Amino acid sequence: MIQEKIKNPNRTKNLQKLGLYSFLIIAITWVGVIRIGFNPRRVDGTWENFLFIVSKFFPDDYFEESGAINWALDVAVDSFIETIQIGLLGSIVACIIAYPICLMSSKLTAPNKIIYGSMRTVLNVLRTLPELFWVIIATTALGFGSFAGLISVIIFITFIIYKLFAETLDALDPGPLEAVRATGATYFTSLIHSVVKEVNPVYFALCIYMIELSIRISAVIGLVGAGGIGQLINVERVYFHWDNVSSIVLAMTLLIVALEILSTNIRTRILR
Amino acid sequence: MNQSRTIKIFKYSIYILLSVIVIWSSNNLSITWDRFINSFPQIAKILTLMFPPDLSSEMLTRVFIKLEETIWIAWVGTIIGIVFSIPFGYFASSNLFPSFIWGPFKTISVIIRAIPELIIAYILIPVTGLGALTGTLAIGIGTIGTFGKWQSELTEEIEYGQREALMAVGASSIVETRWAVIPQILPSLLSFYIYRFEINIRASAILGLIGAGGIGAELLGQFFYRDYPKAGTVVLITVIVVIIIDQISSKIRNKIIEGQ
Repeated sequence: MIQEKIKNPNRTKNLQKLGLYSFLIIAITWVGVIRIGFNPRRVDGTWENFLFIVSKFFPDDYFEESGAINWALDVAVDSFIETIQIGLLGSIVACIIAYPICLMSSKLTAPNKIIYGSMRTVLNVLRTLPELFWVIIATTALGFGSFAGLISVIIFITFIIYKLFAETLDALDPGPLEAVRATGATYFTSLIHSVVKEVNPVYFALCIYMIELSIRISAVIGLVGAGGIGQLINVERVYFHWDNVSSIVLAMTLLIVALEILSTNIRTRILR
Repeated sequence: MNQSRTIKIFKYSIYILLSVIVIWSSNNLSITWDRFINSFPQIAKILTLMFPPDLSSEMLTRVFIKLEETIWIAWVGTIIGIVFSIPFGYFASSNLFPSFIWGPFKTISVIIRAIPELIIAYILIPVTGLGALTGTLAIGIGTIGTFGKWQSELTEEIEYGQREALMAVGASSIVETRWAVIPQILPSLLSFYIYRFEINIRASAILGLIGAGGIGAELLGQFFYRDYPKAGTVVLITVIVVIIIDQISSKIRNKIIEGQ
């Protein structure tokens, strides 16, 4: 017995839609590929460049006494410690600053509508600036060095916490807060006894994540002159010490992977 | 009673640890309270100097050309990431493949994810030269790691029932992927792609700072010459365009999640 094939009645329509979307995306991408300057003449010799750079990255004496690994252990350790310090200090300060800001800019916990509206607008606008824009502004205002990096990390991490945490606050159950307010408690007392107790574990987990993120950010801010390991990469690149650059990048990768594993473990423990 | 006491000790030890970290780092970075407090007004001063931005048409066209390049970098980089991450994420899913296949794929995607895009661009500049191409490749490579990880995590969370039903009728693994895996992960994956496009716009905006194309070079140049009104234009236009793209993409994402 031949079984009749069941056909989707919308099949042709769906296929047309899919075809249209994929055609559009391919066309836009094609325009983009031309616009960014991808043409055969432009990429001519890239492969030879690549092989040359790889041979510079990992020369024969890479693991030897005078090689890059030993150099990194000798010299780069200080810069790594500076990066970690910027990251830790920046995230700790940002976590302290951001908590009241988030409380003021959530609909549920804001003291009044004017503060809520103005905080939201200002934060939503400033939040869109990428982190290195803040680094440039900070280095212009405060001079080059790790201090400018620290301030920009603080500013940027505060905005990220606002983005992630204000949503959590908005999604809270308003019941406990209303119950405490109904007893006639003042603004601060009512917050402390309802919302703060509810969200503290979430906030703590977020802070752990922020420590990871801020160490990640502070590793790259040095590239525009704000201290830490990035500055060392910049210096070594200017002198074409590619083997030193590659050893720093390897160490940085190891550090970030280790941090990620550690922070994921801690966060799952806290939230459980 | 006993438990609450251990929690208390744990809490105090964390406070002590934090204060030790703060004192140690601020000593090493030579940060004093004065300097810290005074720094925020100084930054605010720079922001106010930028405030009446230079809105002459010459400056605007310059900014828009650079910004267009930034958006193209983000778009093509995201497409590169999507194309290469699909097989990556597929092979890195621990519920579809044995461990000797997903192990290496997962490790590679974790390592790619750990290297910041700026560093990738820095390494790529001697290979492909200065310009937008380098930025695009850097964004693409960085995106492969993220997408691969997200896709494999989504695949690992799918319900087993649908796959079991297909296995029971004797479907091959390709048919199983098409009818049991893809329908479950596709909506979240598409919204992830669009979300990452937003992030990539910000990432490509800063790639210009090291000469990999886009708006960053313009900003750095204006700050270099201390031409704050023009820098203000760059910042203002960037903020406006990023907000517009965020709004559009969040609308599209909501539509995808709700199911057209």
